[in-house]
Amino acid sequence: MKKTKRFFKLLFRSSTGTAGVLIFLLVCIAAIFAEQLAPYDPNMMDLMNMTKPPAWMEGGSISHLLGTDNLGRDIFSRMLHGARVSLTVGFLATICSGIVGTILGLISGYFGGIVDHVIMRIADAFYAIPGILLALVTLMVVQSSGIGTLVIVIAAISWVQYARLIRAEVLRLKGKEFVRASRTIGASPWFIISHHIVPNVWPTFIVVSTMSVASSILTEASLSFLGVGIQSPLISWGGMLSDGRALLATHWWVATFPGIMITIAILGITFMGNWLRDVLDPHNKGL
Amino acid sequence: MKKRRAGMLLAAGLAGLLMAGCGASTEETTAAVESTAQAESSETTAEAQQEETSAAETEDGEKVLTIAQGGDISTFDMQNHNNGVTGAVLCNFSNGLVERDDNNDWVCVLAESYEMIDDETWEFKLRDDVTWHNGDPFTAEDVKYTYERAATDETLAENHIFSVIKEVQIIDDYTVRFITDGPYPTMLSLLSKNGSQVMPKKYIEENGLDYYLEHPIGVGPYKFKEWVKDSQVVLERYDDYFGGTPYWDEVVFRSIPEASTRVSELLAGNVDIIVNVPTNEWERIDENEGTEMVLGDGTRIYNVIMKWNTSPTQDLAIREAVDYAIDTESIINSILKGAGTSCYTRIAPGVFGQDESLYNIQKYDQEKAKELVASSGYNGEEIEFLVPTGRYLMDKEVGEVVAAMLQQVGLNVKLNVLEWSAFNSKFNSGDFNGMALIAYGDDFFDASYGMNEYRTENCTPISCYSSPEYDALYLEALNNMDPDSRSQQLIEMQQMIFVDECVQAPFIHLKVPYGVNSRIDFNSRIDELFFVDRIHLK
Amino acid sequence: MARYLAKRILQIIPVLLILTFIIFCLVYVAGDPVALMLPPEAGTEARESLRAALGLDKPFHEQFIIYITNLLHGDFGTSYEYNQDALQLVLERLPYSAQLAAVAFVASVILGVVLGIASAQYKDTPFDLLVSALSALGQAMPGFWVAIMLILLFSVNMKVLPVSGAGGFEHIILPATTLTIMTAAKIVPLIRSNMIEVMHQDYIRTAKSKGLKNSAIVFKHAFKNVLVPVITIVAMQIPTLMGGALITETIFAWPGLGMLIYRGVANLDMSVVQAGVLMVAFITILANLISDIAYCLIDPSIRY
Repeated sequence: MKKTKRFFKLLFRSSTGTAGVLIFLLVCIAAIFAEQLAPYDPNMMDLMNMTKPPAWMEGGSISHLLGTDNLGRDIFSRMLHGARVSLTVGFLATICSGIVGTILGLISGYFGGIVDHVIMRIADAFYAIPGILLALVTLMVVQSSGIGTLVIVIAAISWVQYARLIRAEVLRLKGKEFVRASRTIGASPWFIISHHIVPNVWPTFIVVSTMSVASSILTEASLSFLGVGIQSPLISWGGMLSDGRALLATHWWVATFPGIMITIAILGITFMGNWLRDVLDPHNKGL
Repeated sequence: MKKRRAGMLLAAGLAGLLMAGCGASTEETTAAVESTAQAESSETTAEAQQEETSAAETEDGEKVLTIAQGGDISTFDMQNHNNGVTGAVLCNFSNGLVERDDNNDWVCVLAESYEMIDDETWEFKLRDDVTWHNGDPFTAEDVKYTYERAATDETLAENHIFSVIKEVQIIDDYTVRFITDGPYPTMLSLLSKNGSQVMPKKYIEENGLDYYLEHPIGVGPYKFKEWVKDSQVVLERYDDYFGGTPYWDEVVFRSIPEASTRVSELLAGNVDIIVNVPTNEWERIDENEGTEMVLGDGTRIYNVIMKWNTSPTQDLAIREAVDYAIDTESIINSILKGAGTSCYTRIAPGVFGQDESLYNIQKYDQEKAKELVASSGYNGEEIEFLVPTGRYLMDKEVGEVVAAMLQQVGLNVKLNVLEWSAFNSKFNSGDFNGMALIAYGDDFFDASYGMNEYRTENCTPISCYSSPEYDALYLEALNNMDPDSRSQQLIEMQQMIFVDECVQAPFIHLKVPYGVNSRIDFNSRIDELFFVDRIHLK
Repeated sequence: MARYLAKRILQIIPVLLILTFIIFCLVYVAGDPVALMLPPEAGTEARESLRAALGLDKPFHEQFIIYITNLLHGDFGTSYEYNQDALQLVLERLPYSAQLAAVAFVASVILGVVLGIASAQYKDTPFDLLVSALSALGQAMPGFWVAIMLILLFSVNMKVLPVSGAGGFEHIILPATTLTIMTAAKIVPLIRSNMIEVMHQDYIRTAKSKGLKNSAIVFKHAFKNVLVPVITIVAMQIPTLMGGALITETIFAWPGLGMLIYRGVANLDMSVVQAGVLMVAFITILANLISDIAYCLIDPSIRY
């Protein structure tokens, strides 16, 4: 109870933090309850009602609040369902890369030596290729457009930052007295890692993760632009934005609403991440 | 400002009758070329007198035509590409013995006349006033070099189609004979197709092919100036062109992959012609002052490819149902904004041997499709539907709508949209279970080209249709020198494939949308190439 | 210092080996390009003959050994699409990528450092909030959206800048602006937080307590110390600008490395992809090495 109270106290002290958490919760609700909230089947086409403008514009109607796209599909419904896929990709990719990166970072930092060298050289190799390039080439050659492949590919390009940051954190902690003391009394590496290291790298992990969710959503959008992102019948914000880009000049709403959603969601997640960083950062205890 | 033209198509079948051509009218041809040249030069002066500056002219009054295509050319090796983008540049850079004019009729270009000596021998008399861009004369040696290389070098992309040529004999400096492997009625189609321009023998043998590829020369109206890969190819006027002084001083072919960027370039007045305009931009281009849409004819036909040897598309009733399930009219009127015609053969109008009875008819009958599905043994197995994106006009959208229509008649279609290259390798390897959307084109203009796929010997993992009856008919048509009966045979083949067996389900013949600066007088060609000397300022 | 450098350079070798292996695996999975070299209309026989003629049927390890040997001889393979040496194609593109990257790099470093330091200096003022909001916005917008908007605004509506293509300096402005917006948005918050951290350090507090002028503290003491993380941060942007700008390059039809690789992979022209990706990786490794050397020069007290 005390912890929760402290959490809200800290949260409400930061306006951007509050905004970030609120946005994040709203997007999550949209994603979870997409089926209940969406007025239409997001893939239902209506060729008689193509590119209808949003309700408040001339020619728009209340039946399609945010208008329809170039196949007459309801944009609002698609955006709700898109939230689901975009967030799924963002979270799953983050979880996968987080787990792999953190484990490798822990091993590398704690054990050092040859293991450290091998892991860090692999990390260097991955780091040397711009992520979007590696993702593009991989997705093109495996010829698949499913969520699973996409998640793995995005995870493959983003584990390195976890590994590096966690490793640096472990190296810092290894020098601390409580870890040394533990070692001298003969604690197993597993015990030290799980009891001393992990609780202390947790803040770094959380901060990197929020950034990673945001960047994964953006990466998916970029990959959609390149034709290798989420494909129909699945809907993602990135895919909607990318499909609608050809209509930007004539039917702006098709691309603009998903674009705004991406921006708002990422802003929310970033604000939340910044706030968490401030709260969790040992330098800023006073905040 | 709405102005949509459709190129006039003469029945190519008529041209097929000509077994000897151009000969009698050599003088007329030359005269025609000259008079055009005169008309052009007077036009030039008229243009120069007008003070108005246009995008097509630079400050110093040079006439420059800029065309933006969706990709870069791949090579200056005439026979080592198979794409329209490259062909559209190269046809201005070098010529063929015969070419097709804007009406898709054969005209002699490097040839003065041609004659069929016997079923396997074609003789071409060559012009003696043609020079390469470096001044060397063009002779029979070049012709022999070009086509024998194309016929024998298996690494060339066009080898498979030129390999029918057994030998090119040199009779004298300006006479050659093509010997084919068996009677070959489509010789002129072969020699006038995209990728059949001549290559300089002496130049390549002296300097090597690599040197040629970087410093190419041709015999065409425009010579090489610059190629910045993935950016632009610049050709400049070749003053000693045998057909008279070329119209433009410079022609720029830009490569702009992003469609919205191409449209922006056109609207900003920086380019004169753009290709592959997405349908939703048409209105904007038409409404913008100084630009307009031109809908040209082409040969691409949307086609649902169905796997022949896996269920459920193995079942004739299911394949037939696909034909009836697709509401072509509503696709044409909505997504395609009218730029298409219902068509139930993969052979387009303008291609010799097209079955006209399958063109511009309606087959859509949802009830019948449902009945067919119900009558078959189908019980809801998933059917994968492979759809490419970024390749054909509104491909992804058409695929999504077709998938929805198939679902409506009870087929459990699962859409799988893939970027073109991924689509292409998946498609060709046959690594999918069900159907795929593809839009076949034809730059050969003879139905034998498209119908080749259905022979037993061309069995692929995709559609391994095999019928001895069909094979026999195809071979008969392939070597039949009588155009009338050949045409009948080709039509019969289409009936077998698309009506009786429903091997594939062609459904819409596409128009080709160009965005054009209103200053330009542009006639599109059915082969989608740009012969820039026939594109003028208004 | 010399020992450290030697160690750093030696580390590059295994990294390059791992890289070539990753890239080779991708190439191997990609399969053969024959399917794309011929039109869908071409028959099986034609495919088989072309495949045989290109010799694409050796086993994995054999191909990898041949590949490594060729690389060591400077042979990056031949592009199927262009029928030209792949390395040469990459080198042709390098100047275009370098031009664009240089302009965007300089602009975003200036913008990033100035805004980052200023917002750290005026922490929690409306100015700081504005900069934070703008950089968050810059990071939250997909790059292609920014690019298309810039074209519509400056080229189609205002007609003041060219839409696309490579040419004079005016052609660089829009693509460089797109990249600058994205890059600066990324580095501003990083520089800001590093600056804030430095300002909390004891010696800065000491300097403050001694009554030194604020600007003197910022430029003489804090800046020198913030330089090390700043160099790391900006050096990290170089690979993204050189090879990861493929979307910007595609929209602006800018013939850079990114577009070459994109087109290469679209045509399954894997020699070009290999050469291009290796080149980008090489540049990255070089940039990291230089930034490491720069640390040592700036702050000799850093020991590794």
